[in-house]
Amino acid sequence: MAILEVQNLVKNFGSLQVLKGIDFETEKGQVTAILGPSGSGKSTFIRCLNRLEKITSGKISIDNEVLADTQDGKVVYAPEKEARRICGKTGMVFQSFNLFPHMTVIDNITAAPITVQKRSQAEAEETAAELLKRVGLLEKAKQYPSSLSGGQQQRVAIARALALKPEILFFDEPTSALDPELTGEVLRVIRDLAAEHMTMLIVTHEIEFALGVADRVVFMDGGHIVESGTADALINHPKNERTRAFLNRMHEV
Amino acid sequence: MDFLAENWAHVVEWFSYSGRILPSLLQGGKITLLVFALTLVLSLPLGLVFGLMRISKIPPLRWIASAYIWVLRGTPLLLQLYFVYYGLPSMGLTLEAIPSAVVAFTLNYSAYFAEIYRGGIQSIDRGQYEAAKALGYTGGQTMWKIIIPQTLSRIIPPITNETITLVKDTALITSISISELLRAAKGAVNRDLDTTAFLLAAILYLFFTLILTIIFKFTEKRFSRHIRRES
Ligand SMILES: Nc1ncnc2c1ncn2[C@@H]1O[C@H](COP(=O)(O)OP(=O)(O)O)[C@@H](O)[C@H]1O
Ligand SMILES: [Mg+2]
Repeated sequence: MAILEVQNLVKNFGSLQVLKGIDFETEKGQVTAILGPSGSGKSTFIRCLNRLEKITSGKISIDNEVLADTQDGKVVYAPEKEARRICGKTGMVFQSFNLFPHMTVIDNITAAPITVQKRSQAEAEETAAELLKRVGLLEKAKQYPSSLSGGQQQRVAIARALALKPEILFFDEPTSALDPELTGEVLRVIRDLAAEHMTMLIVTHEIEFALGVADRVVFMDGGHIVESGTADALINHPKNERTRAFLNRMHEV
Repeated sequence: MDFLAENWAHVVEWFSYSGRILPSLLQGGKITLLVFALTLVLSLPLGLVFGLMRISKIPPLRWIASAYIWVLRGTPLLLQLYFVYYGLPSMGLTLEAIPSAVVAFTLNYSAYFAEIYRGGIQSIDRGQYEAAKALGYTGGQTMWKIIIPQTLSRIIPPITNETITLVKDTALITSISISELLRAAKGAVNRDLDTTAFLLAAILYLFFTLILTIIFKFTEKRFSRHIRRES
């Protein structure tokens, strides 16, 4: 059963067409890595899925509920409250972490469950403590994000997204802003989530990581999904010329 | 020591004179304090309203706020005070002197505060809005729980400056015959032909701005705990 369904998704920024008709589906528990050169529309694609960008046309359904659809060439979104509830089934981890700097680590994690999901403070804190333990940062609970390393901040950001118990988690280059020696600790957390069958969509440039963690890899270029397949098929035996060229360039660096 | 001994009688006389006029100065100081406090309490929230309107997605709200800020920052406060006290009665709205002062000062200061709030809000990274939205916050929740709290440490210093200016600007209301601190001092000087009252008034103003500076410094610290200080 598809937990996320995207049909013919088009996104324009003014006169620039960035997504040129994306069709995409993911099953519950599936881990998808999205590869592609810079500017190919990877970020825009996942930002469309949780309304950080408004789509130009196409259809998006999450957990069999329609978030946006196109009728007579016009996009219709679910009403604001509905749309917020539907998108509530997704979580997002950003390249630049985007933790709330005025809140302690634990408050960063409990804030949304309390404010958005109306959970009790006690329940939210219990969940947060478990999550912090899972990402190995329980002892940092009372600190502010500014005193954490980038890798630690990103792990808190993952815990923050998980605290809302999302059905599907989006990652937009979660390690690209990190020093190389800090990527490992973040990738390890994502691998653990994959082992627990968390449904994830991960934009990444870490080919080895994608090969290890992803059930499926999608290659994007120029606003299209050019090729997709199992991690092994796409990375080790790419069929498309552009995929091959991209992977060759990645291996060189 | 010789000097002090020779002039001892003068020193004693000066202190006893100061003691005699101080109550009337403090009486004026109370009015100053009243106008100051009311203005601050009313203009801080009103400024937030105009600051938020100024960056609203709804164009007419933006236009109204821009015009408001432009007019109130672009004309002298004294003129605005005259307008409220002398001008409004001809339009059917007559206010006593002190309410006139509070209204004029509140409108004027809210325009300055609006710009401070706007600057503070606009200085917050777009990623904060995106993180909040991805977590399911509504626009209002994002503003109140995520954005505005982060602006506090940045807007308190400029608000401190405006507030200290406000203390001094209260002296303007003497021009619509309100018996505030400056007028009380001037009264004593004219009556006794002695400028001591001016000196005492200056000390009272300084004392007042010192207290404010201390309060704001404390508040700023309280809201800057999350900012790591490079040591
Ligand atoms: N807010 C925006 N306004 C205009 N153009 C944008 C905006 N965001 C992205 N783009 C453009 O869309 C294209 C795809 O960007 P992006 O989705 O960030 O690519 P990727 O994540 O694959 O590097 C780029 O050409 C980029 O310049
Ligand atoms: Mg990107």
